Amino acid sequence: MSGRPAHLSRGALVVPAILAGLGIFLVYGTVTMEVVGDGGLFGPTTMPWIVAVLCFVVAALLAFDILRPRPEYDTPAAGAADGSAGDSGEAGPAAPDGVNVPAVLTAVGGVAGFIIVLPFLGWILSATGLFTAVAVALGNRRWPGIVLGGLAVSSAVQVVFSALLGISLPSGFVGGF
Amino acid sequence: MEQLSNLLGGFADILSPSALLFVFLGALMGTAVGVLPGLGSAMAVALLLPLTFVLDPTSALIMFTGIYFGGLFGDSIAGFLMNTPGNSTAIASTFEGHRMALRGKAAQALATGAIGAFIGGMAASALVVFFAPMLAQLATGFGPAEFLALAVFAFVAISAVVADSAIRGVAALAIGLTLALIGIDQPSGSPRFSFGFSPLLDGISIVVITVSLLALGEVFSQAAKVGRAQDTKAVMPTGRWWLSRAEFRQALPAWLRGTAIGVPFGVIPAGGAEVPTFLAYGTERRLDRRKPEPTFGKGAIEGVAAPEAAGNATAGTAMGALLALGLPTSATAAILLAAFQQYGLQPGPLLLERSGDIVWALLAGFFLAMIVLLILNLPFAPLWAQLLRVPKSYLYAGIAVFAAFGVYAAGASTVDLVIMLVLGVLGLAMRLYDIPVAPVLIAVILGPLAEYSLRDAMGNSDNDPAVLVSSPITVVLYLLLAAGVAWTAWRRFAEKQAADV
Repeated sequence: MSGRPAHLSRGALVVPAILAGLGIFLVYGTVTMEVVGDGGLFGPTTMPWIVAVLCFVVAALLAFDILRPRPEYDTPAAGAADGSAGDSGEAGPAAPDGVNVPAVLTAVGGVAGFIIVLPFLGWILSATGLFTAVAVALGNRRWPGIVLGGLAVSSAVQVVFSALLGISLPSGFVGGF
Repeated sequence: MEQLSNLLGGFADILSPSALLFVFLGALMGTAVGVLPGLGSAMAVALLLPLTFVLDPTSALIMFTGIYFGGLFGDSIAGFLMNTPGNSTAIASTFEGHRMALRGKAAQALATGAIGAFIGGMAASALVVFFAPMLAQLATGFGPAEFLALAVFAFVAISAVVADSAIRGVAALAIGLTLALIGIDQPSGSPRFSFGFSPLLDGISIVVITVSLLALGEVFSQAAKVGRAQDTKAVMPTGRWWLSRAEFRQALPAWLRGTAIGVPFGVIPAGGAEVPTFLAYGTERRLDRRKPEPTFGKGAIEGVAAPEAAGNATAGTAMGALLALGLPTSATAAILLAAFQQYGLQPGPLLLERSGDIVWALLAGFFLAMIVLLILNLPFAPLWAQLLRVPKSYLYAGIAVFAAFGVYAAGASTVDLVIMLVLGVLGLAMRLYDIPVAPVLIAVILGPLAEYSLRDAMGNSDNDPAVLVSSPITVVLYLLLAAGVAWTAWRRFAEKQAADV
């Protein structure tokens, strides 16, 4: 399996799983829907049924497309020449699923943290934290630089969009001063 | 000519310092996001959608159009210099453009691209000025069946014809259609898929969906790639940024052929400029093979000129299709449609009648934007190349902050931010496993139109399905669609045959 590109690896089965999940969401929501008035044959539930069927069909086809044997990738030769430069023509990354999990978790965690602290800390401090988290996730470790950079960007957004253009942003406890 | 006097009126409207400033800002930002790999005009316009709350429609829309065209000017810079095209629209021109750069002709390659984008965009804008009113006239006869046909055409074209893998395109389409269903059903007032949770009654805003999938998804995907050895060295352009007479004469026919190939692709909903740029590249390569001394593979100027002209020609006529038919044919056009809707304007046949002044000012803005972009791109290309030196960590951290701001500004709600995080992770999964994002956006924008048109058409005809194919326009659209699907299937089959040899 190691020779397969990312979109045909086992991990790619996430996508059909998402589609099947959406299909179940649609079926459940349509069955429990409180239809206002007489829906008729083509009422508010028609399109959800169509899309739900589409989700299930596409999920099945996509899962088949990912799982079906691919002699061009699954031959022993491709497996043996794993780490070294393959002769498949494309100079892709050696590991198809070369996802840097800690980096992704740092970035996702940064966004989640931002959402939690925004009402309390206000825009400038929360956005500085978000900037720092994403910069760290992308491998930057020069702390003074990224914190100051984040402060500059979030302050600039506050000044241009909130003070000049009048879009409201939460000020948090800083606004109390 | 009525169009000419209208256009002159449009120029009169936008030749004010403030309007010119927005043209300039749009061109500047568009080029910048075009230059930076991974960013694009669709994402830039999505991030700036909150500005529609504070700017007047003409200023905002002119700026957004400048970004759209600017993205297509700038995308070649990273492609030519680093061999990493800023956008999929620059892949075709990068083959020969990067080879020119390696041979020390980076500046000339960039000039060829910029002039090509200028010629393609200008020609397409002129065509839009003359044909948009006629197209709008034709579209006044559109009923629900015709709009359903247009939406179905757009769905199938962008997911099955344009995407590399039809099944992955349709998967993206299904995700988008599902997102579009959440919220109150307009005709009946029934709440759908909100499960008693009131913030979901209004549905998920298009701003949240685009910003999450395009901006945050890209940020997460950059994080996923940290540590992979993939940083390439840039060839910095030096020397003259103009073309010699011989180079100009060589490129001119290619620019014109590229424009001719690009123009029709903006009007038919085939989803952006990828297909026409590759067609233009392929045409030039075939012509080159007949020469006594073929130059393709060694940095052929025609291989740069034709795709760049085709790309901007497509963007120009795509704006025409958006204004006259209300039909977005690319991801950026889909977000521009959302921008119009923020102002309560519905692009389509009635727009010219009801808000003609905005449309003509916008069309005049196209021409100004092209001129500004040519000036920004020709002599200053080396300056733009410096942008490629901005460290990725700062760049994407800034984008994450802007994404959070854009989503929060759109609704001042924490629920929107949570949806953003979920969709951002979805965007990461889609990028990891080669699921295209554009069909999601088209489905979200056109999904409601398709659904309500279908229900109107059936309701008006006692559920007689024949009404869906009863007019010549619907028949022509479905036939065109069938031909497109057949051609794509044949093309994929032929490619597979060729690859097996």
